[in-house]
Amino acid sequence: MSKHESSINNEVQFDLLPIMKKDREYGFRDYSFVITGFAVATWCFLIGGTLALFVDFKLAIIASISGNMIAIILLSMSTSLPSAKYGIDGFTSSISYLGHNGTKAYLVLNAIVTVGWTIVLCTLVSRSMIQILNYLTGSDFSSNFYVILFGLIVALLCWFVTLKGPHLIKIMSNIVVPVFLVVIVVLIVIISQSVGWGEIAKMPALEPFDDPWLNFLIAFELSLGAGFSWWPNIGGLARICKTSRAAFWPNILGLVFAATVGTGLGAAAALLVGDSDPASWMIPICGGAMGIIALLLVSIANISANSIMIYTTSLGLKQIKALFRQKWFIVTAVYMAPTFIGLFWSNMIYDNFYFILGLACLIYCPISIMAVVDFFILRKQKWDMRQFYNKTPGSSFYFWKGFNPVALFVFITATPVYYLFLDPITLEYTPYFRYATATGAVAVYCAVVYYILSKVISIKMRKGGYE
Amino acid sequence: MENRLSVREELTGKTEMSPENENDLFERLEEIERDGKIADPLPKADWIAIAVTFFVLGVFPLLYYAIKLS
Repeated sequence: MSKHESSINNEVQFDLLPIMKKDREYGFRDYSFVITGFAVATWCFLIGGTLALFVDFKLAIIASISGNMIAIILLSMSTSLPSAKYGIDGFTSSISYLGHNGTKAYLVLNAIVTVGWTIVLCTLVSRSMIQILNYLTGSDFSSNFYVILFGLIVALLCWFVTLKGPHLIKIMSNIVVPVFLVVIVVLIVIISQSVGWGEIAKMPALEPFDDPWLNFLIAFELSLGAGFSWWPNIGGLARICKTSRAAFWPNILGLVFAATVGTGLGAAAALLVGDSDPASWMIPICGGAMGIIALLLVSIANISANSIMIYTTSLGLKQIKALFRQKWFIVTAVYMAPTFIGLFWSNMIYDNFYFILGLACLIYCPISIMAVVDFFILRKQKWDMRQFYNKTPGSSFYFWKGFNPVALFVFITATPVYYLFLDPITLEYTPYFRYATATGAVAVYCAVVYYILSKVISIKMRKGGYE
Repeated sequence: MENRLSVREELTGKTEMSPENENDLFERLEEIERDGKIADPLPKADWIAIAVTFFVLGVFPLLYYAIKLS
């Protein structure tokens, strides 16, 4: 095994160890900066543009704060607080309610959502390149062929950066935060000077439904999805925080308020230009040269963000026994293969990217709710830490064959419950959606059913190590 | 020391880790078991603030616009 391979495997194992107090780097202020830099990124522009399809600027801001607030508080309770207390990340802690093998299945499911985001960001860079080419040459490169071609090239570039290892990723990620701050400040100044925020506030939504309440509810639902999308990342960050307080509140500052600044800006720009695609509105808003610079900066940021996602998700996939002994190239190829295939439908995925937000609600909401009920109510905030690391059937977190059937049942049945209210792919809603958002209904369902079935099955049969 | 041996007895060879990382793990687990935690949980005042934030900025806007827009 090469030195690089061995170091990756060592990193995978080392990543699973609890992080002790002396090794923790982030205080309240440090983590606030880190999470804000992480939150205010390209996806805010995409989400803002999508919200502008349904609601005006003011309601986009309110829906974003409200939806993100609920999702981030639940998310932080489910991952950040336990992670801060015991020093393990969200995936490791999910062993306590999914079982050792259940968590591995969940890692694969999580990779599917991340692949979706990778395709969206690759397509955004591809479309940005096309906008620049169109502007510089006066020709039209907007056909599906070029979107796919550039998307594939961008994906290859992201894969290359990932293979080069964490050092290059670290250098690139150091560029992202200042780059985005510059782009955001420039956009705020330009919008303020050109039309003014008063005018933006008066502009109607781009493609709303007839019913204003439903438009707000969909914007709220999408914001919940945006919030829940952070699940894979914040547990890992929380365990580097020195206190629980430092692990919790910066999430609200960064993932709710700072992200809403980016989302609001995305919504404003989309309303101004009449197009929800950030690649399309940069040049019309900023002008030729400035627009090209902004698109290039955003593209660098996207390549960096994608490389981080590919790297961290592939590291997670290495926890699966079949992949642990494989070369790093193979593991990342397992992640990249569906990405390359998906890029052949890049326009369709990008134009309907909100379905990833729906998918995030479908996956991360049940997981978050089960985690909260399990940790705070059933286990009274206490874990037997040995059970996370005992990989044999002797571990009390092994449940049945490595799976917790209660969690499995709740997770699988949450999907039809969601569909009773809303189809996350087509956004077709049923009459019940008016009275309870799909995610709200799923949250209540998961909390009640998981609690009852755990009491009746797991605890009664002495499985799962509940006291 | 007794507790540490107990962790070793229970987990040696069962963690799917290299001996070096396994040893590191045992030391950390011993420390966590001794203290019961690595970081203190949130104080009560923070929980009250979380509940207030959840309802005022999360649930209340939804209820307000449910009445206003429907």
